[in-house]
Amino acid sequence: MTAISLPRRARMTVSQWRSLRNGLLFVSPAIIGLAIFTIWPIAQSLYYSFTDYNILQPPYWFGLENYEDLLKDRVFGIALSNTLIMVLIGLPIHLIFDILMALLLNSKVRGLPLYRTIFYIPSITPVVASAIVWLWLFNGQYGILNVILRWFGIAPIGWLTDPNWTKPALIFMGLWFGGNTILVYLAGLQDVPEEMLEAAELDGANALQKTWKITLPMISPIIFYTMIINIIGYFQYFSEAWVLTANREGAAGGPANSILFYSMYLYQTAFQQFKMGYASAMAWILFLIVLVATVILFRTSGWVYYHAENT
Amino acid sequence: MLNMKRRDFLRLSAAGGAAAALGGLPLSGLAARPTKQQAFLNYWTGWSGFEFDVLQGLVDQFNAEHPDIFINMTTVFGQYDKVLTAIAGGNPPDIVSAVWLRQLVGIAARDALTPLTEFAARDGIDGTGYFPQLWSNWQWNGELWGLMVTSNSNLLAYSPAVFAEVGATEAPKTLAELDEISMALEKVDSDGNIERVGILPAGLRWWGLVFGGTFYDEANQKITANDPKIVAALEWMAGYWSRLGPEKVAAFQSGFGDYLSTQNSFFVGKENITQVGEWFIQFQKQFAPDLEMNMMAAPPPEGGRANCTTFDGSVFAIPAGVQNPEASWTFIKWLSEDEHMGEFCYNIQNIPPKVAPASEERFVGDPRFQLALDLLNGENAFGPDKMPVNDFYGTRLTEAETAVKAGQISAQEALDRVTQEVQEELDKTLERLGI
Repeated sequence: MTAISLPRRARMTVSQWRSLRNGLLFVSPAIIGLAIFTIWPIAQSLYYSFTDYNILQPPYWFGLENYEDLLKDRVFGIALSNTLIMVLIGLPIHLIFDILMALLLNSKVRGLPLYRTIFYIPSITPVVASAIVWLWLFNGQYGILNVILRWFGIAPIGWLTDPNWTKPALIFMGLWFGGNTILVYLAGLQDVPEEMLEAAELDGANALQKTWKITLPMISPIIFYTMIINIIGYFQYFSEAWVLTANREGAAGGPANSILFYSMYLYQTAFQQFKMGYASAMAWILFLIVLVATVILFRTSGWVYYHAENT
Repeated sequence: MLNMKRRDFLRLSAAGGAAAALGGLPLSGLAARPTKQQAFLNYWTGWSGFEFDVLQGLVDQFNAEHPDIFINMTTVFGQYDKVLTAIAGGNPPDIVSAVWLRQLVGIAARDALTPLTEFAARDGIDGTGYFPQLWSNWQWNGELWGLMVTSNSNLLAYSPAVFAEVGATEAPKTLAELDEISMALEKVDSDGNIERVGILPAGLRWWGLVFGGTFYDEANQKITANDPKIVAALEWMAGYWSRLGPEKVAAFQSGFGDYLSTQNSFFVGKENITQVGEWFIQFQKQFAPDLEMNMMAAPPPEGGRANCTTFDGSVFAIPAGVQNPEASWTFIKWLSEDEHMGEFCYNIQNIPPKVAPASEERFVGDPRFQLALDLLNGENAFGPDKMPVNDFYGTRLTEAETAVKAGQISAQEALDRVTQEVQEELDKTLERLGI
């Protein structure tokens, strides 16, 4: 058997080397910034997760103790379960709502640009400002939600004071922020071939069948994309719940910790309880959870129909 | 774009750089700049709004009287966490009052503060003239860690006119009397929706002490949240929720207006006995000037503590690693002088932590303020426990309180759990800090 000879790597010419050097120089600010402000802190947090670190004194290495303590931490369990409820119940509700809105906003009616604008504007409103407005909408006496309930003779709900209603309140509030996702779906709906829908109509398909058998499969890659992006976002759910529940003393999480989410508990642990090492361990566990969830989603993505590959 | 000439590219870069530089110029703070000869000190305060304005007036006065020091005050209202990160980052403010008294030991134990002991000893500040309970709360491990310029006292506000409606001619002296009046004041409609209440007790830390309980055994470093008297206090508090219905109370409370407004739940008669500090007198004068409001101490049950109050508040401290602790101390000492302390406290209606300014006619001329003062000066005035996990303890107590009120768990179970969890946390922290 003859030996395989690998081609010798050609040496770079001076001109090629100069071109490479100039290119690297131009991207160096971005690389240096990425290294200093992203990669280095990530590596540091991994180190701190194996230490007892109160940010005021040097870190003290004690191995896996943070991770062991997390397994026994009751409030960590509450924060994780609240977050999982948001991901497993809140997220599907939001995505289904956004798809339905996108289908509606894809219909040919007068004033369509106005409706699309109305649905999109909340998603570009600052979250903190919006949450403060929602604080008033949820107000038990003056909030518009309870006023409407009273019109129908329904007793007012303690949206943010009753532990049974705090998560539904947040899920309800989240519907309002769906403009970005609706826009993404709208873009995907433009690519659904008209001729397919016409052919289906000629074959006697009604609107529901066309939507279910043609439109949704055609936008399934978009649905998959929004699912991945939003799962990552929902596991890090923070701003809305923090603004709605944090008080002057820094306590947050609502009545009986009913809307204490993972990121909120992480923040409290890091900056209020002097446990940056413990919080770093929480951050890495969250990373692993999100990684596993993403891998599972990819592995089970057989339902996604890639039109371009199949034509 | 790709075909841009080098000259055009350089012109564009220069224009962009100039725009970026101009955009970075500060638009405010161009007045009252310090001179090079002055020590420039950053002071982070937790006060905001009109209280900040009052304090700024005093800061301006200090700056005028001390040509060698310039105090630059910034508010970090609602962002006390910034203090810790600034200290951790090696860039702390020179003076800070955005530190709650309950955090003082925790921060001091973690080497984040400069002790004031030597400064105070040199300048003759040894606690003389201060309320004794307050002075002792600023000491830990043999050092003095801060001074307070304001303090508060907890008591109950009520309206005598509303009391008269239910035949109560004077303030209740016992818990049983309080319950009787409170229940007589309650109004519920035919659907069980609450229209008016007497009291909705909150704050287990205070009521636990009123009932005679002890939260922390300092000598033995033991958490005692499940003290039978504290359990009894929580059961009493939750009794109001279970009697009225947790969902009904939640709906009722969610309808309260803004605290700092004419729609405050007490001012509009929704709550008729409310837990406040003496600072509430100022709010009442501002938002409900026609309302006749009296104040009373929390009436204890049998075996409880009469005239019991708690205090917390902002502590003036010097972070570790500041460049000019002497100048920082000069400001804190100046603000602690009777005249300046009295001025600040009078304008924001807090109690001066010193007996002399607190006893001035402008304070004690109002009998309500006198009551708050007497409580603070009494034997049953309690500050935060002196241990390094107060925030952790506080959040677990709050969680227990809301869970018991919501009917999710019994008071005994909840407080047993708090005791166990906080004790574990305390033991680990004490071992780690070598205390």
